Amino acid sequence: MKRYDFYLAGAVILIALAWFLLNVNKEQGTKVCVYINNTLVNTLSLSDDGEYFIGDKDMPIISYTISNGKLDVKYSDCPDKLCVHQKAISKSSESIVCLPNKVMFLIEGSVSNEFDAIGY
Amino acid sequence: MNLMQLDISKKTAYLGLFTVLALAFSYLETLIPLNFGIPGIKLGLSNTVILCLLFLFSFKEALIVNIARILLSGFLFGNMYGILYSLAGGIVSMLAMWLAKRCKLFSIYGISIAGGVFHNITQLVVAAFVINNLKISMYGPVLIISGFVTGLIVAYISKFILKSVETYVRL
Repeated sequence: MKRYDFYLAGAVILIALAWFLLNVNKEQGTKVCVYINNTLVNTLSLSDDGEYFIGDKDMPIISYTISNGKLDVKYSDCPDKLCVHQKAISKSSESIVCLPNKVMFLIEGSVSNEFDAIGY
Repeated sequence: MNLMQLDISKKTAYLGLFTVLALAFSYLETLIPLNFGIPGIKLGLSNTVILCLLFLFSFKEALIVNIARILLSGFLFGNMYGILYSLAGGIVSMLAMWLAKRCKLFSIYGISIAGGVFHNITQLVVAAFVINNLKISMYGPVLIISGFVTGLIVAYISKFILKSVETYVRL
């Protein structure tokens, strides 16, 4: 290993850490936006518990549930099932993406007062 | 040993063998369910072959073998989306490794880390374009760190391979 290897390693870890810190402290979201092919097709509240489907109910493309304020993808007909394996999401701007089906679930809104940002 | 001075037919045969080796690694990886609790992360074993090629031959040969490997493994074990992502990641990571090697500041570890990190970042950027939403950037730090760690592992393995090749292989 050369000296510059350590510089590179340090830089990489710092960037990852900074990126991570920008993303933490997310607040609990209030609603789920469902996008297919980049168009918003459905908006649900995170308090509307139940099971939902994209496509036909008997042969769904994707099925997902909302419970305890969390959204989880239960089934998808895509080959890799990455969206199914992903953990349930609940915080603002978290997302679950199914690339093969071009479906994206995005959590939006925050519980706290929206004017927080301009409070002095 | 100087692989650069091989005649064209011998070189073609060697590059063919390297392509098959990289392809075999790609397949091997689909058999090992490496689950770190995060979807989409894998070791990148076939990158050891590409990294060795970069040292044994040059950028051109490594790039050709990498593209052949991506297309073949995509058609055999994957799908069109997979090919798209792998191609973008593969080409950008090759460029990153080539630049890192050319500036002569880094050892094989630095070169491999640059390759791993740029591979993952490129795939994230492509994903952001396909989905057309930058909010999947939550994934960024995870991908950077995983690229870093896999880059280290790949460099460690490649170092052994290169050492053995230099000691034992007579062409």
